[in-house]
Amino acid sequence: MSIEELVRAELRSVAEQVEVPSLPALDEPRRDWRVVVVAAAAALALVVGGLAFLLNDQDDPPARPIEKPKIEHVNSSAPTIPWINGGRLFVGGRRIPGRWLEVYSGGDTWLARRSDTRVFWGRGSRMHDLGKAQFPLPYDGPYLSRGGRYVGIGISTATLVDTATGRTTRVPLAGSAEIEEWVAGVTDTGVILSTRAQQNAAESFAVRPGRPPVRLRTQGGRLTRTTASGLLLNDPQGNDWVVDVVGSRVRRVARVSDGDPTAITESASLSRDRQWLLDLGWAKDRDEPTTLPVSAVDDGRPVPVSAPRGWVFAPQLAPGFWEPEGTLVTFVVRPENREYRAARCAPALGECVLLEES
Amino acid sequence: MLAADDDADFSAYAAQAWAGLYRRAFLLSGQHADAEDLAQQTLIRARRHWAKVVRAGSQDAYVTRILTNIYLSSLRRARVGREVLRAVPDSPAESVLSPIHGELWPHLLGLPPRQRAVVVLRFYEDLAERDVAEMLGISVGTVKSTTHKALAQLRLALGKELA
Repeated sequence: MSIEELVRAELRSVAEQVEVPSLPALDEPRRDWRVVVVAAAAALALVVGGLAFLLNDQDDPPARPIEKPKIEHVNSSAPTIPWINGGRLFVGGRRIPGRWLEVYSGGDTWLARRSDTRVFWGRGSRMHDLGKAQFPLPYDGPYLSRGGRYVGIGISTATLVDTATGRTTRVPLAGSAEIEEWVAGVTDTGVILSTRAQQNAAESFAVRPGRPPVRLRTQGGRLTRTTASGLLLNDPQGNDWVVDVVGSRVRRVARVSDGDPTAITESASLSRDRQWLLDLGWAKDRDEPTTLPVSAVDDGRPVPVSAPRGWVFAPQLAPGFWEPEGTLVTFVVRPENREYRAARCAPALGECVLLEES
Repeated sequence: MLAADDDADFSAYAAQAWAGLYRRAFLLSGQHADAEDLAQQTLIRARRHWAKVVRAGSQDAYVTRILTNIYLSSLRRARVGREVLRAVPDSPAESVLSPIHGELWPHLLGLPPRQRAVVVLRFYEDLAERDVAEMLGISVGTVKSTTHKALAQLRLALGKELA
């Protein structure tokens, strides 16, 4: 009997032996009074810590207003942002050795997972090993802050890497064995953003080393993870939002999923300048469209962005990499001979150009 | 709030699906308390999105996706997180976790959660690699390598036990 057959037989046998309890009540969860009392006590403690935090939080800059760079034409030069083309990682136009699966970046820092599942952060071609991550980084991290200053990861204890100095700090989180607390993101000022989850309830916190945690005002939502779009908040309806955290405030920037309970990552990618949303559903389609599914964040209007004449988009290779200017580096294919090329697309202008081959 | 007809439909579905859902949840979590929470949360979420579940065609497949997503998103993050930076899988769980004994079961429980999810989807649900990949939002290659690693670990554990 093969190992596959053994596993199949064992799982079926275990499932058959399981004693199934009767169907429980399926009402929406409500807080019982004991939870409320405990939460109130915790809240009191947090208020004290929170006031101290806020009084000392003047070095956290306010959320930046949305910058809207003006683009007058789309250029065909090689991208300077970290991006992956056919498994090759390029940073600042230079190739980083190895085959790579995914890359995220902020400022001049990048975070990437190699095909052997090792994760590295780096600046330019200098890189630092963080260990292995078998699954894509948005699942559990590590996460990079928006401007690239910090890398954060952890359950129960957060590990914070200052990418300016390379210094690593371990910060205990306040969860317990029963109530897990995990890092969902990190800010450029080194504040760890964590979520503490228990059955049917979750709260998110801002944790600064050596200070009491501050409960974030999430309006019933919880911070979940950081993706290429940014830090995500899952709201009570199940929608994912890209958010900014300043002090104890959580500001919603753009909705990036429609509450599909089966989705693990967001269904739209937010541009770095936060003006555009690229629908990621297209990457799952087998079709090769001639128009990018982009919409404007401000008013939700669809923004038609056409492929270069004679080419169609190839979303199966990668949805694309947003550049700080609000342009997207993505891939196109020529239908008649299946030649693949990288292209730069500008939603502001509605057009794409082929990139010069490196 | 569901309309009366939808509520009746959902209640009928929940009653008929509960046992299977609980068994799947047990295979993922390995503990009765976790399995009950997981299956209950899954049905609560399915009820909230009942119109989508109905539109999806295969209600069981859709609900299995919800179950797997909830399991991977929350209940096992602690172990997964350790896996990331340490890269050393936990030792097989003690059989005291469950009164159920099987030759392979303790070793299946000892697999990292993501590996166990892939194994359950591949060999209990009998899903194709492509379907597992789509359900978990990962590539077919990752499904293959994860399955390979899990089976290698199980083969090794079984070999040691039989030696």
